[in-house]
Amino acid sequence: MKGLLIKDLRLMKVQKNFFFIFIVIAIGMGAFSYNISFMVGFLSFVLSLFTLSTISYDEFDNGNAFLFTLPISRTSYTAEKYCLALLLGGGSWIFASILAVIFGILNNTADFSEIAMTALAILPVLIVIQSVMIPFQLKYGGEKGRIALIGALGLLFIVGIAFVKIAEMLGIDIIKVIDNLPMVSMGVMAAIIFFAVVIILFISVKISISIMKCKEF
Amino acid sequence: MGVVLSDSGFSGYLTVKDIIPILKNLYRNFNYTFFINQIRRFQLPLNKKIKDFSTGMKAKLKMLIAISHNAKLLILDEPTSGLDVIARDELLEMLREFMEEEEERSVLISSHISSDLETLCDDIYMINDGKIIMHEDTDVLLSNYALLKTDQEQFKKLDKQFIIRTKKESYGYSCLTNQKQYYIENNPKIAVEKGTIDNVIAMMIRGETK
Repeated sequence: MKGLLIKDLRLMKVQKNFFFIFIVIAIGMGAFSYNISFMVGFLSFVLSLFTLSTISYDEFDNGNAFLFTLPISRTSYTAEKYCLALLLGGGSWIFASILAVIFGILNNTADFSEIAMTALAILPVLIVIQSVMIPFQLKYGGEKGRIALIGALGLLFIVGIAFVKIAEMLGIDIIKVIDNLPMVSMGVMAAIIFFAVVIILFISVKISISIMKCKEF
Repeated sequence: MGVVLSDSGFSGYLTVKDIIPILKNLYRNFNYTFFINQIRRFQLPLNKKIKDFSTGMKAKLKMLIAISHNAKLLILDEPTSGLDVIARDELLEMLREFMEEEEERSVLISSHISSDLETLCDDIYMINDGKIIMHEDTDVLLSNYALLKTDQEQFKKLDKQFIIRTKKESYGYSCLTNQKQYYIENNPKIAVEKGTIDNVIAMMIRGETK
C-alpha cells in the first residue's frame, strides 16, 4: 500500500498549482472575511477531493489494467484511497484550523471556542462526504463522478446556508445554545455523532471493496 | 509476475524518477542497481513525463519495469508492436538476457511479429477465434513443417497421409504438411516451401482439411 500512496502523492505533485491556488484563496478568505469557519470547511473539503482525482488518474488511458498486475489486492487499493482521503482531509483540516486561529489572532476576532466548535462540527461532515463520494467515484469513474462532486458541493453549500438561515430565523445563537447545553447531553451528542460517522465510514469501505472486487479492466 | 501490456502502463504523468520509489515499495525483490543501469544504458530520461516518451522508449520502460524485480513469470502482450527494427532488437535483447539469467523463468508472449517468436520461443500456440488451432514446438515447426506447391496432376497423385490442410491456388494447390522429409524423399520434383509461423498459421486458418 505504501507504493500506491507514493504513486498518488507523486501524481498530486503534478497538480500542485491547484493545491496552491486553493490555499491562497483560503488565506484570502481568512484575511478579508469575517467568516473564518467557512474557510476551514472550504479548504478541508477541497483538498480532500484530491483523493477523487487520483481515482480518475488511475482510470485514465486504461491505466487500471496495468495497475492491477502490480502486487496489490483490490482490498489494499481501496484501503489506500481511504488512507489518502484521511491524510489529505485530516491534514488540511488541521492546517485550516491553525490558519483560522492565526487569522483570529491577527484580526482580533479570536474566539477560540467558536473556531474549535466549527472545526469540530466540520470534521464529521467531511468524513461523511468522503464516505459518499469515494464509492461513487470508484463505481462510475471520472466523468459521472464529477457530476456527483458538483452535486455534493452544492448540497454542502445549501446545507450550510440553510443551517445558518434557520438559526437566524429562529433567533437562536447556535454557540450560546451549545455552550448552555448540560455537559451530559453534549457528550452524549458528540458520542452519537462519532459512532454515526464511524458506522457510515465502515459501510462506505465495505461498499467500495465490493465495487472494486467486481470491477473488470 | 512481470507484465507488459500494449495499451496500459503507469500513468503518463509520472516520470521514471517517480516510478523508482513506487517500485521499491511494491516489490520486495526490486533490483534498483539493475534498473538504473539499464535506464542509463538505454538513455531513458529520468525527469521526463512518460507521456512525452517516444513509442520505443515507452516499450523499453515497460519491459524494464517487468524484468527488474526477479519475476518468475513474464506476460507480454504485443511488446514489440509499433517499434522500429533497432528498438525491437534492443527489447528482445533485454528479454533474452532476462531468460538466460535464471532457468526457472517463464515467458508468455503474444505477438503478430513471427520473426520475433521464431527466434525467441520454445513453444508456439496459434489461436483463432478464441480457440487454439495449433500447438507445436518451434524447432519442429521450422524443420518439419512445409508447404507443398502442386499442380492438379501432382495433387491427384499425392499421398495425402501427412497433409494437414490444403488450399486451392491459381497454380493448383498448396498443402501443409508436418512431415516435410517424407514428401521430399518420395516426390523429388515437388516444390517445397519451408514452414514458417506465418505461412503455417495462414494455412491452418484459411486452408481446408482434406
